[in-house]
Amino acid sequence: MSEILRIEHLTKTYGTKKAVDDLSLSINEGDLFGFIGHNGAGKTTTLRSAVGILDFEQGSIIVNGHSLLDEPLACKQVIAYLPDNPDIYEYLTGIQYLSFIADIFGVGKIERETQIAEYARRLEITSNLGDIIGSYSHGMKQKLALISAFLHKPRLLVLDEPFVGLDPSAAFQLKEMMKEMCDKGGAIFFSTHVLDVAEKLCSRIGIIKGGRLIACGNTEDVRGDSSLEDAYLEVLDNE
Amino acid sequence: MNKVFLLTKIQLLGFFGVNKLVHAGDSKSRLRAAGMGLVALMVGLMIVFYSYMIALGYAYIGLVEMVPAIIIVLLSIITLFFTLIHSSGTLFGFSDYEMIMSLPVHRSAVIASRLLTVYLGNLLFGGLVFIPAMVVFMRESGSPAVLWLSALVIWLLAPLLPMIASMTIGALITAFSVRFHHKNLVVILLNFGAIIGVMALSFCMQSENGEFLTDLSTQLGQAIGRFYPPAALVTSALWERNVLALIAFALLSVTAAILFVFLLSKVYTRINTALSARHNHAAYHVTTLTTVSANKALYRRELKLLISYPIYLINTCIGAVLMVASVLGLMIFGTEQLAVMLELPGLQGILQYIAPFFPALFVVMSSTTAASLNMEGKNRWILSSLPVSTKGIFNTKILVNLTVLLPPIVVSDLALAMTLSLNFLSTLMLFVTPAVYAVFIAVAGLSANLRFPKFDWQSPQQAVKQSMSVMVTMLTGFVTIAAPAALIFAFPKQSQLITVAATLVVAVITAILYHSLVMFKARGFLN
Repeated sequence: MSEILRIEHLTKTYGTKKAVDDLSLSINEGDLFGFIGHNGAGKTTTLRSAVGILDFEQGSIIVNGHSLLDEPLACKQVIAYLPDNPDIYEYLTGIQYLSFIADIFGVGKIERETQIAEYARRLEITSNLGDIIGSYSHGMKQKLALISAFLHKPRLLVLDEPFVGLDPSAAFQLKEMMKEMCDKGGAIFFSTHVLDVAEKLCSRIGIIKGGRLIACGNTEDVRGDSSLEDAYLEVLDNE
Repeated sequence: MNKVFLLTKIQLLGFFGVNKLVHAGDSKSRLRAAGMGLVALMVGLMIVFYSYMIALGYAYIGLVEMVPAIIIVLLSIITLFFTLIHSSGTLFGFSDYEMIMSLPVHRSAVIASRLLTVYLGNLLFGGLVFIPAMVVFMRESGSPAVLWLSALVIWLLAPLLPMIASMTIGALITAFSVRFHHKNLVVILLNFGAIIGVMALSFCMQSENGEFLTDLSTQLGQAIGRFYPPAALVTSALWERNVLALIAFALLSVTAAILFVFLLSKVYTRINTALSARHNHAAYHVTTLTTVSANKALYRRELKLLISYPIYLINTCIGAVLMVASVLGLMIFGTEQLAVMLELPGLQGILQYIAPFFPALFVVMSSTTAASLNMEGKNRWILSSLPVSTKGIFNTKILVNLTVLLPPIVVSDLALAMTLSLNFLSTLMLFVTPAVYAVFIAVAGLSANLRFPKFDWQSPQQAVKQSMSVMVTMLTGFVTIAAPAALIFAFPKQSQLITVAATLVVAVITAILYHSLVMFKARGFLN
């Protein structure tokens, strides 16, 4: 399986504090990689660095064979990112926002119509797409941001706490969409605090503490004979 | 009252990123803040100098008793104008509205705190204008030191009446516009109308002043009194040392403020609720979608950003509106009549020399780019995660600025060319110079915003009005106009040469600035 994301010796400092400290990991085609850790452990910083939003002091990030530092646009063309708080253009309507994203990624007319219709139906937001985003609830914004992320069929999907604010039906659909994407050869790198979801959904797990990756591997290997929750607490205690 | 101060304090902590600087500022941010402070100091010193010279001028022609009234009127017009521009963003539609209103504080406390924040800004500015003029007045009139107490009271109260007048206009415009589906458009149109109205009013007063300037001071006093009656009270309080006039001025100012807070608190929630209400149709069907290129999509989005925030559009496009209004005024009245009205006998000649810089003066007031990065706010992750180049984003922002400026420039220049009798080169420069200045101010604005970004705003008013980049851009723009204009006044016979040279210099500076802009890396400006 080919490698889609490779992070090597990533270090990001805020002032004197190291938010991410010499972190290395790789994600392959078909991987559904769950990234877990306490608040402030460095999850969001790693994710934001991986999609080229955040500058970093040391290390390298390779996306689909391209260096993020040298060829940021080539990397971003195959990435979709969803932050933990979906702040999207409130002055646009839902469909205007999706059209904007589709135009930027060069998604064709027929393809965008099909994709938007399909994902909007599954996330039950079709009827609201003509409304101004400013009128949306948090969950609706999250759904819209998810559609925009899946719309251009990225090879790598980077999601920061994607299940927060979603209703149970939408959360179920998102899990299905994530599995489908990985089955088709894509890869997903996402952070979550919901360990049950991570345990059931992810093929691989990474645990971060104090900016350092303290455990990483197949879900079965990381959790061992216990639950992921027990394994997580144990790993944290031992560090 | 304590809650009013607490609410005010929270707002003030966000001003110019002071709190962030104190608690999280690195050495780079501190250096930037020092630069901002230096610019603010320069602007402040210029205001002090200007005010001092105006007062000295009146004293010199034997009208020292009119100094307080003249300064109060000047201060009131400026306060009226600037408060009008940002009153709607201060009182209504701020993003922490729901959080603030959920606290156990009375509506009037929220309004008072908003008022107090604007008041403090106006008071600071007022001090820069009022105190130097009072120094001249006290010295030249031989007033006793105790009169400074009255002057202090007047300084503290002077911003209230024009502020309240502006905020009342702003509140009425907002209350009226919420009834419409396209409320932003209504707000924009009404605000532009009100601003042009205030400008016209001050222009009328100028012509009235001019008429009486050479006459007796009593006539000037009557003229000012007719235009702005509280100014007569100020004159009486300081020149005649009339305590009753001082008390009347104080009562008038404070009563107006209390009445405003009381009346607005009755309808405050209703207006804000209507303002935040969105027309939801919830009946969309995905049908046929159109496709455009990535660049066109970026341009459309940028244009939509500009027209979706009235405070952003009004503040950054006011120059373009005033340019057309002024030139049309010039066309309607004609230079000869205008020269009589302004008591400027050589107006026709002056305009012929500096014609290209007349529209350019308004052009430098219209930089949409100076706040365009600020306006990305919390949404900036979108642009930075998309596969679009920094250059592409910057070009789009510059293009939107030119979209705002170039059509009014063409209209104004055509009107000016028809009004003034100019030779070929002057007519050509009438079009070229403002166009070059338009590109310059767009590039300079973006450049300033890159160096002084403000993303963490609670209301778009903070992104536009409390942004150092906007101030720096305007100041830079005025300097680039003032320098060649001063040279032309000194060497009028060389006006064409100076115009061509200045245009070339500005074009070269623009090219250098643009080159430095595109060298910025994408991550560098949206982190």
